[in-house]
Amino acid sequence: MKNLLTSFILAVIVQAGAFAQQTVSGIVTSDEDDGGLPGVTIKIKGTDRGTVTDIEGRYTLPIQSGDETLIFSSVGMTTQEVSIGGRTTIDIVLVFSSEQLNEVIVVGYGTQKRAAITSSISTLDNEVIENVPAAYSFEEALQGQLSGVNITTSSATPGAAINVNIRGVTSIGASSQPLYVVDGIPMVARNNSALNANIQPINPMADINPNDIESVTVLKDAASAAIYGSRGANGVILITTKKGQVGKTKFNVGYYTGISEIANTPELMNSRQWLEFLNVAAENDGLGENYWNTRIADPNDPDLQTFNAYDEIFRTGITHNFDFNARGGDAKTKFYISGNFFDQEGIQIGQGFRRFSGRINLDHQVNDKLGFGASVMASRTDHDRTISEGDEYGVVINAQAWDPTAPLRTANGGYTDPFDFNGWWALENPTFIADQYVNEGITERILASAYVTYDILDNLTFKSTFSTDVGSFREESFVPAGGNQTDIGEGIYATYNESTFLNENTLTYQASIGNDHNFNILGGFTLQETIADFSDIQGTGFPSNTITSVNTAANTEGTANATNFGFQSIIGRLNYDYKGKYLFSATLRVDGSSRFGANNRFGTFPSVSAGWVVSEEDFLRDGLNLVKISSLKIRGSYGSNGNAEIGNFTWRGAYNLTSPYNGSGGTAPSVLENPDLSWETTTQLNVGIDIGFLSNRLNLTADYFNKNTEDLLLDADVPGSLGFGTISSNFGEINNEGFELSLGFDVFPQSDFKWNVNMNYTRVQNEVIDVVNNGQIVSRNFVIEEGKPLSQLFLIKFLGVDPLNGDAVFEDFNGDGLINLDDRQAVGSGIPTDFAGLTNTFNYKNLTLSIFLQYSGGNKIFNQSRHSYENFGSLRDGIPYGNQSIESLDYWRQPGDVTRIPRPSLAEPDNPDAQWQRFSTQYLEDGEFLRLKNVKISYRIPTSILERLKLGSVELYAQGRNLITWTNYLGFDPEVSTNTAGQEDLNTLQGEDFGTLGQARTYTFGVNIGF
Amino acid sequence: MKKIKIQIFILVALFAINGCDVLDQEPESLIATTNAIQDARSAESALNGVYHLVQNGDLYGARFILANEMLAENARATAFQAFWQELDNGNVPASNFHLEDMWISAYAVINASNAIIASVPEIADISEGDADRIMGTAHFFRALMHFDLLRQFGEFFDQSSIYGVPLILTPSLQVAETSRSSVVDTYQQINDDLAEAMDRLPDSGDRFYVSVAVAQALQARVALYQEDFATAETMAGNVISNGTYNLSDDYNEVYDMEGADESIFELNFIQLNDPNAWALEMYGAPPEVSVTNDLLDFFNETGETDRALLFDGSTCIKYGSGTNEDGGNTILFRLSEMYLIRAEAQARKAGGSFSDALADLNVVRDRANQPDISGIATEDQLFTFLLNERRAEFAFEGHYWFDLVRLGRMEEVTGRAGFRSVMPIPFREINISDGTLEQNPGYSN
Repeated sequence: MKNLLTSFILAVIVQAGAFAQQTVSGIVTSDEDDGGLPGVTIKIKGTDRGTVTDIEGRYTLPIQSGDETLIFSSVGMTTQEVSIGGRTTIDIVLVFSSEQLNEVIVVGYGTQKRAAITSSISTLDNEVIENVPAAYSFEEALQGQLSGVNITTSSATPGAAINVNIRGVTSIGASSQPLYVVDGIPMVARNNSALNANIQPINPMADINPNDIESVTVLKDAASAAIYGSRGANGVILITTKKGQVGKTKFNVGYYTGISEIANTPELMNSRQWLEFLNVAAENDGLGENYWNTRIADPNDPDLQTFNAYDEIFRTGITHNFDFNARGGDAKTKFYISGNFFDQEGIQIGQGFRRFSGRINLDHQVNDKLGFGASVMASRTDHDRTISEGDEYGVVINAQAWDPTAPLRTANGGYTDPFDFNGWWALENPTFIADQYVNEGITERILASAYVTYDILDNLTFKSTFSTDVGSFREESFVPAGGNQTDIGEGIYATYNESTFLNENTLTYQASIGNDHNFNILGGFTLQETIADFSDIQGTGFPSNTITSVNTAANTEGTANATNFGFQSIIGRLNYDYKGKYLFSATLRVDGSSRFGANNRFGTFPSVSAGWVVSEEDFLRDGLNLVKISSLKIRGSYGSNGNAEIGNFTWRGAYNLTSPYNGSGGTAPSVLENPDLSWETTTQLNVGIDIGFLSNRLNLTADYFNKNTEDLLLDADVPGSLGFGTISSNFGEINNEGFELSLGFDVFPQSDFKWNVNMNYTRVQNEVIDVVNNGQIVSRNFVIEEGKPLSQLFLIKFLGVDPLNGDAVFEDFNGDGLINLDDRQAVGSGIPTDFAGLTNTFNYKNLTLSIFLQYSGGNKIFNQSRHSYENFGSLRDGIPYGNQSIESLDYWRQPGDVTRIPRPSLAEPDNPDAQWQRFSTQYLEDGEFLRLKNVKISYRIPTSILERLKLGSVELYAQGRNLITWTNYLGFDPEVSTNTAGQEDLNTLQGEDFGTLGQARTYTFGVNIGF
Repeated sequence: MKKIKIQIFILVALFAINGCDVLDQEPESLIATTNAIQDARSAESALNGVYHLVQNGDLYGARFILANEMLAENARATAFQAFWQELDNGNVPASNFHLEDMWISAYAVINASNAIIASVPEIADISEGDADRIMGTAHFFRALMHFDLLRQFGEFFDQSSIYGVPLILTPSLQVAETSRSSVVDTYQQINDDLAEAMDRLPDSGDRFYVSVAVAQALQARVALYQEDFATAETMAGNVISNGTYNLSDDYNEVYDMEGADESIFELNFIQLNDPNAWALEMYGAPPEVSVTNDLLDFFNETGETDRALLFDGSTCIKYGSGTNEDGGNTILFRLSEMYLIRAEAQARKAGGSFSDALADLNVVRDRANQPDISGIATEDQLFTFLLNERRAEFAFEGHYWFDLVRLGRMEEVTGRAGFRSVMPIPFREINISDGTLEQNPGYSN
């Protein structure tokens, strides 16, 4: 059938050639680079005759008398019509279309033309990622670029986990992070670190070289994510890596170096200010004037020194990155090969991240029916971390509370002991923690897949893929002897090995009935098994502080364990359109999993979506043209997805086997059984509109969504008299409702000076509708309350300072006459409700400038760090608490003073005079910020010079990141979250800052050379 | 030909897929509750698990003892944890983290014991001796935990009070709420379990495992609290006359040496990852829990020499001294307590006189190189002598708070309101019980 058609077309062309009186020829180039564009279709208007450009973009086309106009078209480019006007040479520059309606985008288990999409999907190409060099992982580059996707980097620790929430936080006890699928393989994206929970978790996605990524697709609504069934509820991020291209082999070599520094530091008192402040406190406490002069130092002593611990823990971090890739191929075989070395030094001493990675993507077409291919990535990442956020032994918090009169180094270069000085805070010298505590991890990762495709019929294709994701992670930590934490040295050696086997088989059928009714049907089944084993050896009693290997420890204890899970699924999807005008799609996935309780083994996740391309209606065309609307589509979707991140064996009633006594093994009840345990179900309604104005130079997409999650996985409190604290159960409901806007505008599309604007804005309102225990307290500072958003801070309310006596006044919420933790109340959520990004790209000839602004707001932050450095009083024995923020200088001095800082006092907390500042709203702040996030300027060396150098392309660039932040937040940076150890913590415990390492400001300089 | 190849490929793929049932996954470090106790071996392991649970940091692995030392003003909070500061302060809110955890941990021991009590009689291939020892131990721990819950959260000193604790007697297999029993019913269950334990346990003299003497010692203590002085006297006397247990001349010996002569039952900590929290709470920098000046002054004023040796500045070294040690054992019962119980029981029993306490009281004092008490004239004097003796003898062993409460001296000594004699039922429990569980009088929630 197809052969007949080809012969027919050939015949027509040959015939046409026979009668040709003349030819037109030329070269088609793109506006992006000066290279020729292969594969551009050229048709003579009003005929079936035409041709295609060759590899160098050249074409020759016979024309006949009466031919007037040529139509140049190519996927992703704006189609141009050119009148021949008697010319024999016509060179054309094609422009990439701004809203690429014909663009084919990657969706789950296939691709789809953007014009035919009826669900809510965002895509980004590699340009956006390339705009953010010095990003250790691609999510960093996505930050602020996609509507509906809130990405936060909660620390400047290189290689640390990044929090990604698509359309809100959907869970309490399970992960709210999206599913990551790399070239069809669902990737493990969970932190498996076994070290101190208060070390920044590692980011397994950083194993991927961002430069290998061709495009990123984000599936946001139920209809697009339904094909991932019980794992789609948090949205899906599909990553497609670069593939080979037909044509001459192209090599690309890139190098950049970056310089990073801490973007901002909260100012602390110097020694003089601190001593004066302490003297005032002592006077208020009736200890007399100049009490501390003889005990610490005289504030007026001209030789008084201030030791700034910030200077000792922060540094300028250097980043190096080297990339190499080659891509090419012919009609049968295409390849992409790359290598990458990335080395980032943290802005805080003791931190760093390195990645070595390589990739081969190979595709081979045996004949017109059979094809196969393989894709292999291997990488190693090294993580050097320090104890930081959320730990009393954190580097940053010990620096902030450091006694400013105390040096950090002894005369002979050793580390001073904070207990020899005058701050009750500072438990350990922060430079000692950063330099001498060891927390190293190494990941080795292999992602490999092989596929075969076979066209059973012309329009029926079978595809089978076998994939593995193998990760090996080993870590070592060491706390040296001689500090305040241990006298004999403590170490941990831990491993985590995880491997996934995946087999997916699909049949795709494509059919059209009379060109009007178009069908695309997908069916398939998949199998996945993941096994993991992990071990942890703890040692104490090390003979040396330099050899940290756990085998040198005098005492060691070890554990080893394993876990596993499986999925078995059936998928199906039907896409139908009528004349490209009326679009309809239905998707179904049935997932079985070993994670689900015996009574709930299989879950079914259906969705439907529909769209109406209004602009294809002839009767509306003129009206739309009048208002400059070039395309208009209205779409809606509804369906349900699941969240299966509920733990592997959480449903089973069980005894643990790790309860020994007196050297004999023991077992003890550890899990209360729930055979009904199942996935969480998210039902989502999405209504959207896509409008293009001015020949699609201005494109606007708007979506409303209402996302309701039920059957939340919850460690529900049970009566303690059962002997269990909690049971894993499905109960409760969370709602995320909001809207998204994104806008792209080619202000000046086709001239030497181009200006392009991209904007996105999202508002998400999170609300807990129903939980089993309303008012359940999580951690110390958070609560789950119905009617309020998650990550609800739960604090004592600070009413201010009594102007008459300078006392801090707190609300006695339960009215029992005492102020204690029973007086806590819900005071706001740590989850941002509004976020936006604005990118302006200017292009003049070979020079490109892009400026990206990021906004986030609507959230509160509990700045618990200030409880250390803006908290006076003394816990015990009259020792001052620690250094103070300069904010504390604004303290109450005399009756009538209105200030938020109470009268200084060193009284102990249970003393009625105490100004001990509680876990109160005193430290509650607004998290809103606007950031000049990214500026990149790049210059492409002109072709004329390149030809002399025999190079294909050379780009030079400079980039700045986190350049300016506008915020009222008093800490390092408002983009913080202390509780990131578990992905579940990011649901209920966002928005607390305790010694979080602030953001880095980075300047990067680089070059890309193609040849 | 090609078609055949493809068909072969598809067949192979389908075969491979059918070969593995990925949905049947078995955990590698857990055993299903229903299979946990099914033979002699697994019953023994489950019994070890009960001991393990009693070692928990929230129970006898440190905090149950330290919390009550703090309430009694022998210990103070010297670091961050708000729950310690609240216990130190004495006005303990119902949301106190330690009370919340202690409640659950105690019932976890009861649940593990209940599983043994329910399952062991079903086991065919177990010797009668082993079955008796295992069952007896489970009954003992169920009694111990109900008693500890009662004295922490219930009005244990008032036999007519309705504020006992929930009694749990069957394994927890599904979610259920149990309301509080009265004080007298709680005591009744404890005594029933102890009778069963004494009936079944061997007189092994083992210090690290529960024997009949351990059950008798607990019965003596329970009877004293219940003011059943006759039983208290008899039971304490049984242990003293057992012959296996002797007071050493050296007060420190029982702390220096594991399984010393004086020890009746101690939890043997042998590994770093034992669940005890002594090092964590007392030997860190700064320590969460230190010794109060009040206790040190008391030692000075009463001229204690031997019994003050275990207080190194503001650190109590009865349980170790550094963060990297596995820690000294927790001694739950030792012989000097039996002497003091008998002393008090003899003085307070019907027909007893105050001076009947002298002989046993002075046995304990002699050993500590303290001068004899020559006479006791009034009940007030008797209580003062008993309290001082118990404070000195058992400092940091978790007795003194309950002694203050049961002898009516709590308000006077601590200056706190009377209702604070019992701790509030954890807020968490009240919150989820929907009214089934009643809070103690005086507490707002």
